[in-house]
Amino acid sequence: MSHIKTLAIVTLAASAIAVPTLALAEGGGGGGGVTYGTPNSGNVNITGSVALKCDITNDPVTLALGELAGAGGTLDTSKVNGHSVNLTGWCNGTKSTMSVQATSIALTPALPTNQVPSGFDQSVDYTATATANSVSATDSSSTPGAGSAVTVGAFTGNIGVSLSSASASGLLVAGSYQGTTTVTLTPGM
Amino acid sequence: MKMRSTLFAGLSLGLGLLAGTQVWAQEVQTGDPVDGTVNIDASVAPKCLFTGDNPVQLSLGELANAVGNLDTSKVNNKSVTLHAWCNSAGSQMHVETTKLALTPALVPNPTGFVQQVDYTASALANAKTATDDTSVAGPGSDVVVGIFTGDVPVTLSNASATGLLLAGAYQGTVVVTLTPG
Repeated sequence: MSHIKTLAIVTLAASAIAVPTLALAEGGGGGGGVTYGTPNSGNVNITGSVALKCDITNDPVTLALGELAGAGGTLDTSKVNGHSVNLTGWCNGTKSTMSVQATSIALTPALPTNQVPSGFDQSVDYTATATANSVSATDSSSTPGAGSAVTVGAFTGNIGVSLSSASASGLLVAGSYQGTTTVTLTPGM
Repeated sequence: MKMRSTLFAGLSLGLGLLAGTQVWAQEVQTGDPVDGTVNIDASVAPKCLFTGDNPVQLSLGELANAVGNLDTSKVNNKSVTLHAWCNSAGSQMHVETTKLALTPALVPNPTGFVQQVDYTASALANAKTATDDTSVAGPGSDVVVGIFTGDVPVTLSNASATGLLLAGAYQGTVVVTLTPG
């Protein structure tokens, strides 16, 4: 009997110790028992991408030079040199490049070469310069193919295209003249 | 005669033993009952846990439209589902987002371009929604989600970016935190 009483007392004492210990654990740092336990996080990793792209938004534009010949029938270079027009475009890659390809301003339709009278010319050569993001690319119509590409990077805004170094040999055959300057933006990163 | 005496003596002894046993049995049965008590204590700690895949990936693909601006349809309403449980009534949930940003960032930022996309993320658990917007620093407000187990869908909305988007890879995160309480 005495042994049983001893066991009961010990159990009671253990409970008395355990109850406040549990209460303390639930108290969780003095938050009034409101918050306890360890926060657990679920993570969502979001990925997306933006593709490399360049765009010219007002393509094409026309640069009307008017009468090309001076009073003496030869090329009036002032009708070409210094004339300019703006394209508008953008590139979103930091290593985007720009190049220019110019074709002669030529009589259209052209006369067969053997029908061009001696002393006359039916095409005007020139240099075209395109400037975007403070970087310029050029090409001369007298050499085939495009000029060298330059890095324009990421930009948005005007692409100024200006003509210079116009030249023609002899008198200009009368008619309609057409040429093109092609500005090529190539996205890069 | 001798046999009778022996038989009698044996019978007497047997009766005597039987009587003695009965007396002993009566003494045990009449004693006081005693009980031994075992008090059992146990507990289950408040806990929340995300189960299943964590982290999960939400791939939005190409973010820009044909003219280089943000295509909000590539972000808004896109969702992914986490799985979790909390075992205590006062459990809370909040969401913290980070911008969907060009990685690595480009410095300096070219004029007219942006390299970040803001958005709102909403997490739904036990019919309670917690939100956070990337345009505001820090996590969103806690909401009490209580005891639950199941899906925690995370949905994006209100995507915005002003300007042309720079090309490249974009990354952002949504962290959903469950705090047992």
